[in-house]
Amino acid sequence: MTLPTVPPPPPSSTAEPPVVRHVEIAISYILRVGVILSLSLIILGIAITHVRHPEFRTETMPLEAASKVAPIFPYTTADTLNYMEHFRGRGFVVAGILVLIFIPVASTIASIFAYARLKDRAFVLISVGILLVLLVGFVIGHLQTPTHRGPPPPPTTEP
Amino acid sequence: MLYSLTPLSFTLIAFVFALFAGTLGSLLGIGGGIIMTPVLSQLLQVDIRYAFGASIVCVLATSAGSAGAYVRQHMANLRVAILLQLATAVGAVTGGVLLSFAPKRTLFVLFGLAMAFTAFMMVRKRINPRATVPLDPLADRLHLHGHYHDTDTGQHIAYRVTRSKIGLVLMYIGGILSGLLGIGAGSIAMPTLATMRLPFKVCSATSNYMLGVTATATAGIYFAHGWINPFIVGPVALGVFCGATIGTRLVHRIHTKVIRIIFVIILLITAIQMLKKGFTPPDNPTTQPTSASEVHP
Repeated sequence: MTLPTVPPPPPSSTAEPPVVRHVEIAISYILRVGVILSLSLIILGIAITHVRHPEFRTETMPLEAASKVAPIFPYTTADTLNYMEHFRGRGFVVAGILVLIFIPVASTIASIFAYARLKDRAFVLISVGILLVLLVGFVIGHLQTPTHRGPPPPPTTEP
Repeated sequence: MLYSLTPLSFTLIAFVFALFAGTLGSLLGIGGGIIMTPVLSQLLQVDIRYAFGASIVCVLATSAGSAGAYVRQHMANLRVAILLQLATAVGAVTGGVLLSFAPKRTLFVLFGLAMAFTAFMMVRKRINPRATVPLDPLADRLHLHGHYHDTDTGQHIAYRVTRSKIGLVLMYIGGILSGLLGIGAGSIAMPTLATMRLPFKVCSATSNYMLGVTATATAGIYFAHGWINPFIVGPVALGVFCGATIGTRLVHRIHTKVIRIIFVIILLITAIQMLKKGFTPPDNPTTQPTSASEVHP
């Protein structure tokens, strides 16, 4: 490749206008709020699980069995809410994870508005594109849901 | 049985490993998925699908936990991150669709090759940051160039971004691998960003922010598949959050060279383990006889 080259710019020429910092501050704020919310739900969920299952503290089992003690858990948003209503720890953990999954979506939405304010059309379009691809991904994921598993049983039937 | 433990100790062990993965993940910009998958599937005997589910959550948590700090400190190059996110998200969706058709052992081989490739890219000859870079009209038009303050050396460093089109192609491939393997594409993102001539610390910060979107696309699909098992994922997410916070503080105190060496070592170990798993004759892939000897070497 014989592309023309350019030297790196001097540091003094790169001061960012304050409005660009606003994009960064907005996104980092969303990330922080999301993390705190997600973290709280997950901690609460783990605590509830171990309070409801005192045997998890005493009952020893082979290593392969330890990760399989809670094989039934919600994997749709409706089930997650149902589990939370019944105050099941795994419902709260999954809700925390759903918040975690939503954080990048929220920061992408924030960047659409932030770049629109900067009148930066290219980056508004790119951000909108990302959002659309994510939505397509969620829809595909939903369509691909294996039907043979069937819905998880209602939480009340479990100990 | 070699090991017996209570579910509570399982939770605690998973937490400790995740703490470690989160710290390294945020330092190295790799999300920590490549650490969590082998730990869970080989050391803790978790079903490989749940291990992938936990690993993608690990990437999400590392990204969310560290990117906030990196973006605020102006370490991450947001414009590069957002541009490449588009390619990587499309790739992740492609990978998620292919997932139903890809056999497990092929996945291990792909994973191992991805790691070995990254390690190779990282030990290549170092680039002089003051050297000239190829002109990139796309990078100019999108104003991708940036600067940051390196508190380790006390320097303010400006850099020009280049080869943005190659970056887009590489990140599309990275996205596909992410969708297939739950690795968040960090191990591809790092060498890609280095190829685009971002300084190493900017690479890891940018990669961390970028990974969130890739992982989200994949995580949505895994969640719908029922691969996000809260009993396993809960302590992992918690540990990774704590680790990522530690990582964003450590990055200012550690020399880039040290970070890079740790990175290459981890990649090589993982690559060997994964390739071994991919080439081991089948049995039940989750309970191979080889994994017992790995627990107790």
